[in-house]
Amino acid sequence: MAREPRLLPGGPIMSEADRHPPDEDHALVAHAQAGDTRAFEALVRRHQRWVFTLALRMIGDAAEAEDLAQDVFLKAYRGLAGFRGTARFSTWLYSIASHHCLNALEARGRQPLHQREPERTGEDDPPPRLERLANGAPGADTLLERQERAQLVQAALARLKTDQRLIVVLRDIQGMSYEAIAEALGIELGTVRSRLHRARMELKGLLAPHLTNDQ
Amino acid sequence: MTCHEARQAFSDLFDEGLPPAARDDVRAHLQACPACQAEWSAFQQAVRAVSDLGGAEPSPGFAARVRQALEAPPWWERTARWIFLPLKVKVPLQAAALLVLGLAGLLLYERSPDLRKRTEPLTTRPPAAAREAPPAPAPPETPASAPAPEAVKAAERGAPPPAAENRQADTAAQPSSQDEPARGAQAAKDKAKEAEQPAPAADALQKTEAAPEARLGQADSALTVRRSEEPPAREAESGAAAGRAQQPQQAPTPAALPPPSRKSLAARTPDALYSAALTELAGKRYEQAVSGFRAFIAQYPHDPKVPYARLALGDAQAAQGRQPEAIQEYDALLQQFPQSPLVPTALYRQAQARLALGDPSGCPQLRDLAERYPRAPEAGQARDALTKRCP
Repeated sequence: MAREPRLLPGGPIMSEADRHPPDEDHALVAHAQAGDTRAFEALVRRHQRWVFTLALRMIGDAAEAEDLAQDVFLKAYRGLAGFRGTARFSTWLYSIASHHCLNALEARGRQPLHQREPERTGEDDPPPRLERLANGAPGADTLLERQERAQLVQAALARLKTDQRLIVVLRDIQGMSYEAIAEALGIELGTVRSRLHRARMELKGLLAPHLTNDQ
Repeated sequence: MTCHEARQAFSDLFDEGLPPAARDDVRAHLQACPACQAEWSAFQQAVRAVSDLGGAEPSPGFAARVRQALEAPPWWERTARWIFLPLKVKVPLQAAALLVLGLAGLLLYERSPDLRKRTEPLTTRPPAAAREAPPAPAPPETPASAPAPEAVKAAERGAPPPAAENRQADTAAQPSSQDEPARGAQAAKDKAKEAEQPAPAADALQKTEAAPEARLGQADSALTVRRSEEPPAREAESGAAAGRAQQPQQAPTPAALPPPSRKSLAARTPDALYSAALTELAGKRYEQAVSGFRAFIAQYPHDPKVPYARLALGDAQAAQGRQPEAIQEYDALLQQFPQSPLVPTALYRQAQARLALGDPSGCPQLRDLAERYPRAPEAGQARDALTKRCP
């Protein structure tokens, strides 16, 4: 799969949260701070996808992730009075979401659910793959393989330490820049870089036996 | 450059964050070192696999639910509303409930002699003139119910029993304080009667003490039964894992059952059934594929691949031109697995089958798909189909 060219680390890589113009966010925030819950609902709609994705990739369970995401937004609403507008709303929300996910995992005192790791069945002749049906749509086995691959990767993510997992999710799934990650988490840029490298190397070790045959 | 230095630079190299000179050094090392090149390939695959996970949407109505949570009244207000509202309904009901409780309490009091006797001294007090006369001696008691000696002596000399001293201090201004001796004698009588009842209580205690052992025995037997029941349930829930584990989990004695052969197990594993049906579908033997997937679903209804089997069933039927059957199969998937990631695919293919039959309801289905799952690949296909086939 061809990758889009990336800028230097720390550059303005467009993340999901940053797709919305900050002016519109600030206008909605102003209304929400005045007590307009519909304005806050609009903010939720704009940012729910990445907040939910962050929670899902950290927790590994969709139902729990939705509860966490809701808690994040409720927390944000209660803390709106403290948002001065000096930073982007998305950055401020990222900080809340990241810390809330970490605290939730710590409170649970456990790693998120381990997803099932699919194993090779060991048949002598694996069935032929139905890459496409006659009408060009992916066959059921391709869809199944994608789903199993996603479960595999999620299981590998679940094995990382929570702080490493968070960095990987913010960088490689959410597409945040190093600077934005450092600002959201309140850590040094060098810490982001080193933590990300360790996490990626750990993932390589976990996924390499399962991915090499597929490439 | 060493291998360690090269591998330490993988992350920066991936993110194109190395200065040009360092980048060239690393690339040169990778070209010269097959082991590091293999590590670099594995590194790239792993990071891309994580990126490919992509984003996810919460369930429909998420934002509205957040707003409802924001607008919800505080807990004390919700509690008050639950207790009192609506007034026309709750207040009469609560009054009726209080009345019933009061009547029940009265009934209990009437039918319980012990309870009446305990409360009798409070309701039947001697008149004021009797307070001046010396207190009467304690009535004759049977030996088994003799009152405590201290209480009897106290009653004879007209002083309150020791236990009643505190009470008397509290109610010194009340005329009832002079009734304490009689009340004390009555209390002593009741205590003596209570002392007569150790045997039944002890019997009950012995029975209670014996019960835990019996309960332990019952619990042990229940645990044994549960253990013997567990393996089949576990196999049914995760048939794939049980099939792959290939271990007999329920064996009354080690030598009672011969170990199952690998071949016979392989014939029954869910993966084997599913793969066989898939092979038929790939070979365009649609009838055999339909039979195979149906057998897989019937034998392993809880296997995680069942939604995929349902989808494949629909595809096999559609490939034979059996659009009504295909619609039914897709519908089964949608009904049984509403949260499955295959829902957009099933909706799209079902709509296509409907349109193939000339059923116009395929169009609103495509619109609904595009609205509910805007980021699914099928949403784009649905929008194209709407443009071409729907007014």
